[in-house]
Amino acid sequence: MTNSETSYQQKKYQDIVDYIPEVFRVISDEKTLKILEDHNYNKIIPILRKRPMTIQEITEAFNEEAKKCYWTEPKQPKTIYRYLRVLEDVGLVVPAGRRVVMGKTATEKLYMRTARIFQRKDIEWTSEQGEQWAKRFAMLMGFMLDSSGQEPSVTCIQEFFEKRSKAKMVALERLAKTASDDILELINEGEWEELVHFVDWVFIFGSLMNQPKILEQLRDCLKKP
Amino acid sequence: MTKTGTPQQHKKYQDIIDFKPAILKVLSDDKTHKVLANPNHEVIIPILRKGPMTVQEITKAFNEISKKSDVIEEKSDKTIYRYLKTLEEVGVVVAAGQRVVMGKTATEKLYMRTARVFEIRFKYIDWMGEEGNEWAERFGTLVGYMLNIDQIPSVKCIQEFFAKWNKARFAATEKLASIVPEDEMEIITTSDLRELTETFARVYIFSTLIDQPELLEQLHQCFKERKNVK
Repeated sequence: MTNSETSYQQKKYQDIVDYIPEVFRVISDEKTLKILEDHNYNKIIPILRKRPMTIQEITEAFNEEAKKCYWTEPKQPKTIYRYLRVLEDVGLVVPAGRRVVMGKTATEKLYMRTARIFQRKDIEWTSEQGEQWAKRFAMLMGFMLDSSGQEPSVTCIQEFFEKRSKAKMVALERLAKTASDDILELINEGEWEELVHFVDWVFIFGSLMNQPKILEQLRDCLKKP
Repeated sequence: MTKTGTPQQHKKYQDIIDFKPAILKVLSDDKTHKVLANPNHEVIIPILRKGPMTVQEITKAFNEISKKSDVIEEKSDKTIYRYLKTLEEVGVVVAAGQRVVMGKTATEKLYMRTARVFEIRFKYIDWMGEEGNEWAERFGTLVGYMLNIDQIPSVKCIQEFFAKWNKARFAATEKLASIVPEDEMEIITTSDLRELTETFARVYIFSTLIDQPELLEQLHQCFKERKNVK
C-alpha cells in the first residue's frame, strides 16, 4: 500500500464473490411468478442485474426507483432484507459473497441474481388449460375477423401456439448465450411485466417478419371446417 | 298484492339493482394497476363475476379462496369492506343496490363490478414521444439481432409503425366490446384478469395483422430503409 491519498480512496472495499449465475432461466412455478408480479419484489430484480450488491446499496437503488413511480414507497433496509429473504426462498436471488471493507473486521453480505435473464414460461398449450385458452382465442378471433360460419380448429390453434412458444424459448436461449452485454441489457432493464410483454412483441413481430407464412398457418386454423 | 297462506320460503330476500355494468372496460391508469397489484384486491374481481353480492357473501367467498392459496390470508368482513372501498375509488367496483331481507327494516349494500370483462393494459406508451423512441430503438436492435440484420433499422420508422399499430389495437378493443354478444361474454368472464389480458393481447396482435397486412409490410420497410441510405 502506498500512502498516496487518491489510490487509497479508490479502493475502500473488495468484493469476494463465490457464485456464478445461470445465463437464462425460465420460471414456471406459480409462487415465484406471483412474487415477480409484486411491485416491491420485482423492483429488486432489475436493480441486481449489473453486479452483486449489499443491502445498503440495494435499498438506496430501490428508494431511488420508488421516488420515480407510483407503485411503491421508499423502504428501510430492514424491509429490503425481508424482501431479499423471500426472493432467496424462491431462488431468484442468492447471497453470493462478502464485501470486505478495508480496515474493518466485519464484512457485508452481497446479494446476486441467480440468472442473468429471467423469463416467464408460457402456458402449456397442449394441456387442458391450453385448450381453454385456444377456445377463447378462437371465439374472439371469430368475432374480430367476422368469420361467422367458420369452425376454427382448437387443436390446430393449440399446436400453433405451442410451436410459437417453443421457438421463442429457443430464440431467447440463443440470445442469452450469444448476445453481448449491451444487447442483454435491452431485455433486462425494466419491470417484470413490461419486459415479458416487450419480449413477446419482439419475438412475435420478429418471427412474422422473418416467416410471413406463420400468419397463414393461423388463418388456416381459424378457417378449418 | 295477493296474500297466500303459505309463506314464500324460497324468497327470503330481494335484490334491488340500480346499475348496468359495461361489457368491457380497459384499465390503463397507474393507480388502478397499483390497486390490482395487491392480490387481496385482485381476487375480489373474479368473486364478483356472478353478480351483485353483499359484503358478507364476498367475505365468505374470499376466505374460501384463502384456504387454497399461499398468497391470500383469511380476512374479516371489515377488511373486505375496506378493499371494496378501494376498488370503488378506482372505478372497478360499484355499490350497485340494496338487498332487502323480508321482514327486516335494514337493507344490505350490494357490490358489483363496473364491467363484465376487464382488461389490464400496461402502460400506455406515447410512441412518437421520447419514451416511444427509447422502446423503438430497443425493439429495432433486438429484432435486428434476432434476424441477423446487419443494418441498424430506422427508429423513427418503428415509432411510426407502433403508433399506427396502437391505433389499430384501440380500434380492435372498441370493436370487441361492441361486437361480442353478452351471453358469449360469459365464457370469457370465467377466467382471471391476467389470463384474460394475455388472451386479449394475442387477439389484438393477430387480428390486426391478419386484417391489415400492410402493417407488417410497413415494419419490414423500417429494416430496409437504412440499407438504401448507407
